[in-house]
Amino acid sequence: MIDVVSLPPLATVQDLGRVGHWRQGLGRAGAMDPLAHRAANWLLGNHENAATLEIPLTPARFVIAQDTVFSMAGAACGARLDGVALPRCWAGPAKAGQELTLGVMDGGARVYLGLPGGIDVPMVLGSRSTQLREGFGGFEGRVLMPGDRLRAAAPSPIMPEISCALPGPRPEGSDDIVLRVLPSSETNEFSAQSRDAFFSDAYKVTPASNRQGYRLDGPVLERDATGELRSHGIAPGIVQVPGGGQPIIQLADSATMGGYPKIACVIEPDLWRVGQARPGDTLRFELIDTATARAAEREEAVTLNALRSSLAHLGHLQKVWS
Amino acid sequence: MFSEADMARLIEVMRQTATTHLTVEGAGEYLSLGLRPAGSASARAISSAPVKMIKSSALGVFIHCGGDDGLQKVEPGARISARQVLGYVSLDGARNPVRASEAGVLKSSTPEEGQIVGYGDVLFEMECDA
Repeated sequence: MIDVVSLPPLATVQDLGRVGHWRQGLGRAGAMDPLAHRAANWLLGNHENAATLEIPLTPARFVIAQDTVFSMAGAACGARLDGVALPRCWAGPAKAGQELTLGVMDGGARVYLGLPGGIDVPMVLGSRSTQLREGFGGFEGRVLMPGDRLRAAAPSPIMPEISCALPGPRPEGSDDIVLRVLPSSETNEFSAQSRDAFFSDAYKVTPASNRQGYRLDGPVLERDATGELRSHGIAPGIVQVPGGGQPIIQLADSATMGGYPKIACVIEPDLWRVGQARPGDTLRFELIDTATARAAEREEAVTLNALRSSLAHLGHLQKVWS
Repeated sequence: MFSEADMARLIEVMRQTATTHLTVEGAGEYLSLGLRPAGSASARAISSAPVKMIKSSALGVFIHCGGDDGLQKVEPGARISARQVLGYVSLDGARNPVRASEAGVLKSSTPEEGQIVGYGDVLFEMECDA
């Protein structure tokens, strides 16, 4: 059990999302950075879909209410347990009364806190994710607040500490986050100049960004075609261009329908990079084809499997050694 | 902890045998003594602070802290706090953190980044606070 002492708003309990309710107008929700969410679970030997606490703002302070193991993964955030610095991806034991503090986030936008078996919140419509707009799921359908207590869904195992590496959102040596995108249904309706700009120039993440979508600022995108579009289905990753010509990337809490023209769609294996982007960060869009997107999906599956296997293997060895 | 009498006896033996450098290890501590070269009768303790060796708890690839882990890099001479993470022994990406058991000053870091280390290999030496 962990008590929240101080925590800025917007921290929510998430899993990998509530799929299968699109036709009822209910979006997916789920972790903005599924990679870090999975790592926070695998560090503890949890199922990858166990609920974690997604923390987008710091500083924060927690008190361990009962001896437990816990994990953290995602952006570096100056995490300290009773003043001792913790690696950015870490799991290990903590004693009742110890204080966990999170400081300034660096190189990312979100950190995930995991507990044994996941955070114990009810399963609603097949998921433990918080559906913020609709006000259900997660921790009482709301953001976490000081005074809240996070309970583990399983007894705390006896385990030594363990850590792992996670990639950063940017390619080595790049100042920009590069997102691979597929063309969308209205891509060719944009002017050639706009398409060139979108697929070559950098776009800055604006402060008007949240779990629903990121509004970007960069070269204005103009559509050659005229007239309004009918509303159509949208999903996380879709890049819409409203009237002002500045793109919006739909993210985990995206609506299920929208009427803005779509210039591209960020592939699923790159969505975690957006989840770690902060206002002021710059994004670039790299146009790929479906074969490359499928290859990226396979590559991601291999990488995730390797991380899960290595953590499970080391966890097993640690048990043998102890 | 080595007493003054212990050190005096060791220095005397060094003088008698013309030993210029002596390292004594025991009970998790170690003492390093130096004697000036031939002709000099004086010996000095290079350091009388207890020196602790931090060893690898596993076979794997050594990784310094301060790379991708959000922690500060630790160089020899740096002040270390008790339980501070100094590095990792990595197995296929999963990492065993290596921590200082007590506070002190980091004296040396033995392995290179990416070097394979075995169980019991010395990874760090630190002078512990008295």
